Amino acid sequence: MLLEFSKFLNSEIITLLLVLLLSLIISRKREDLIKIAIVLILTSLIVLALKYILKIERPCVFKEASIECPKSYSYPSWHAAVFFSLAMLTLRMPIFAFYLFFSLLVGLSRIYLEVHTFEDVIGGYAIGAFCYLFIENKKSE
Amino acid sequence: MNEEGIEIVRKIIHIGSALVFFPILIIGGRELFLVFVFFIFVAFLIVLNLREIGIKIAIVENVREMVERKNVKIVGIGVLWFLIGILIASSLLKDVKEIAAILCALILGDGTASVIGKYGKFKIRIKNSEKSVEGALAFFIFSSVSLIFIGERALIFSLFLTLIEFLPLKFDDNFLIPVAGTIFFLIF
Repeated sequence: MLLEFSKFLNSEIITLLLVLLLSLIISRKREDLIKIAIVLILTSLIVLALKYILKIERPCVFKEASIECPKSYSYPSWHAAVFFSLAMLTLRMPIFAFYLFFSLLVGLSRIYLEVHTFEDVIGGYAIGAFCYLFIENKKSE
Repeated sequence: MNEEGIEIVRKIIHIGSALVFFPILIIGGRELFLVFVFFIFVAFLIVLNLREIGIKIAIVENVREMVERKNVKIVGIGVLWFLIGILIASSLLKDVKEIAAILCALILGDGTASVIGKYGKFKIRIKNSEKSVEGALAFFIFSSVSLIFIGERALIFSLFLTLIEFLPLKFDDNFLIPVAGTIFFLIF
């Protein structure tokens, strides 16, 4: 079952649709949606920049994985970063537990598929949390 | 508790956290350390969330009153920056000794710098931030404890982080120090 879930989430279109759906669920006003978009764009940009600066190969490059190995670099995991930043955006809401659990499940699925290591996923979570706190801090200044 | 009392308790906890982090890193290794820090991070987020939705845990509230600065905009933000910084450092660096050196600067260097810096006489003003020379010196000396982990590299490492800490950058020191330390070890 975890394999099916992991493969399902591996699709970029499915992931983007899920991110959009999870963003819409927590957006009460237009301002919320703008804030979510800013956090997600910042997260994605930092993840992409780090991938191309650090150039760390994915674990599936060195051994056979259950899916085709993605062409991009490994650290940090974009999936983990994006879903964790979404979870952070719900920190003040009762739905946080679900978003947190889902982001942990996404991270686990990336390790299970061997497209990321444990460190990549933790790094992704840290970047996601950083982006949320950075924007939240700027907003409160 | 007054502001000064709060600051003292904060610094005792900050420096005292070395007693938890160092043994886990050195005895348990990098993987266990990473799992441990991530576990604390998630547990802290859950407590913050419970508080936000109105479920307040008595012991947590007591501790918060003892350590939280007045008029803080985001509750627990210092701890969050601290844990995020450590997570980035320990997920990127492979060598336990380098992670230990970063902990020396973050826990011992930064902790003592703010205590000693508070009573410092020689102040230097850069933009809106005022830093004391004594604080910077304390940061350098206590960060140099990393000598036992990384050898003579510790002097350049400590000097680099002292300069970073001295600059009026807009990031929290708890985040800036481990990230700057990580960049140092990735380059040198």
